Amino acid sequence: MTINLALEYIPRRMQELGYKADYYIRFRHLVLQPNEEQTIDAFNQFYYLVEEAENVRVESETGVFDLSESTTNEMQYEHQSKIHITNYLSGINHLRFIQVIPKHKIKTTIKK
Amino acid sequence: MMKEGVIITKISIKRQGERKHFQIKLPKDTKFIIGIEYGGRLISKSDAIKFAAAPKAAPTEELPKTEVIESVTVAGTVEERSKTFFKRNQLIGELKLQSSEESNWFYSTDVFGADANLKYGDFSNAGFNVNDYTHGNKRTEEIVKVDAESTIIQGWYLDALGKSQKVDINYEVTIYVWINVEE
Amino acid sequence: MLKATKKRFDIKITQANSTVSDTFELDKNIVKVHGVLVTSDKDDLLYYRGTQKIEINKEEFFPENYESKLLMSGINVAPKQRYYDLGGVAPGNGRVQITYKDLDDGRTVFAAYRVSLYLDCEMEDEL
Repeated sequence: MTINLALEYIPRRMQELGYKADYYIRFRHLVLQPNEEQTIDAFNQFYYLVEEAENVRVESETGVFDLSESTTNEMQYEHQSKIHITNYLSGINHLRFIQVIPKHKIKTTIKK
Repeated sequence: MMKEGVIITKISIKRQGERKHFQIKLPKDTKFIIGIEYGGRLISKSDAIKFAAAPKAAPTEELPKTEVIESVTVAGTVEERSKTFFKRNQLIGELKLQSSEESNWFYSTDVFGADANLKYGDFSNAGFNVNDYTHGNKRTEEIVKVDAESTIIQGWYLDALGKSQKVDINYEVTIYVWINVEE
Repeated sequence: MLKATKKRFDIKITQANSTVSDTFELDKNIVKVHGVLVTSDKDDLLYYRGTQKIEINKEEFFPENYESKLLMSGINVAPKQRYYDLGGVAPGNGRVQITYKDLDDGRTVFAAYRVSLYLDCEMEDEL
């Protein structure tokens, strides 16, 4: 998705999920080595795929984003939990995300 | 009741001059970050090792130890003069840590290998060899206080060792983030 | 308001006689873990070959070599009774670690399989 869409989308999505404004937002631009595969721990976080993402596969429990994947009817841009990234290029590739990190909110937690 | 714990993060460096960005997740029940410590170990050097001048002593490359200190002495760039001269320590790299909340960039350090000057001023040459494990100071963590509201810690590590030797060195830097946890 | 929810975590076993370990994190709004259960896409392999250690917040609930067959429930078990009751565990830092070991048993032929850990949890609806 474009960055503008992501910036409109994220606050509304966080409201839906109940996080309101209690989250941090980071822009991540990953540089992937030739044929690199990596797994990102994104439990309790959200990664939104922005800008172009070609020759790369991003898969997580919410779905898959892979332009060469023909067996799915939708591509997923919002990823959570464990994210598996595969670079199909035998050269350097780039991948951009907006990372949303809901706060721990220690200060406002009521101990039960 | 408060309990202390440590989060261990290993950063792998493979190329000269490499800058590695990383994020450290804080567990949900953390109250504060109370200290930072770092260590490292050498994994391997690539075959082509260049030196500025022929070294007097062969470079000592210590095998990976479980203790945190890494010892890589490079005699090539430092001429062996009299023992009383202050020796340059080998800079391995730079490390910086950033919190997500008000503390922002709260930690910065130069990562050095062994202290090359432990023997500084020792004119006795008494036969008790000076090493990190015999004469070095006890290592403790550096005290910080960062609220765990930060949720994640971002940081980067910049290689200086491989860059100064102009060769790809594969080593690992370990970052210890001390936290206190509400039981 | 408290709601019941189920979480699933998967691990892949690709080599015979291997140990696969993975750590997962529960959502922040989960306040209690009530039960666990394991399943697989090749449940005969899980039954005969599997053992696992399960830890929640570094506290060990099932030790190493605890057979998977003891955490499996057949379809003849009433759905609400399939989970092993832990009695309401506080998630602490929310980290669940499973260390799964696959061992040859002489009756089955190894093929790569998936092991899924299910957790029956209670979550806080309003943060």
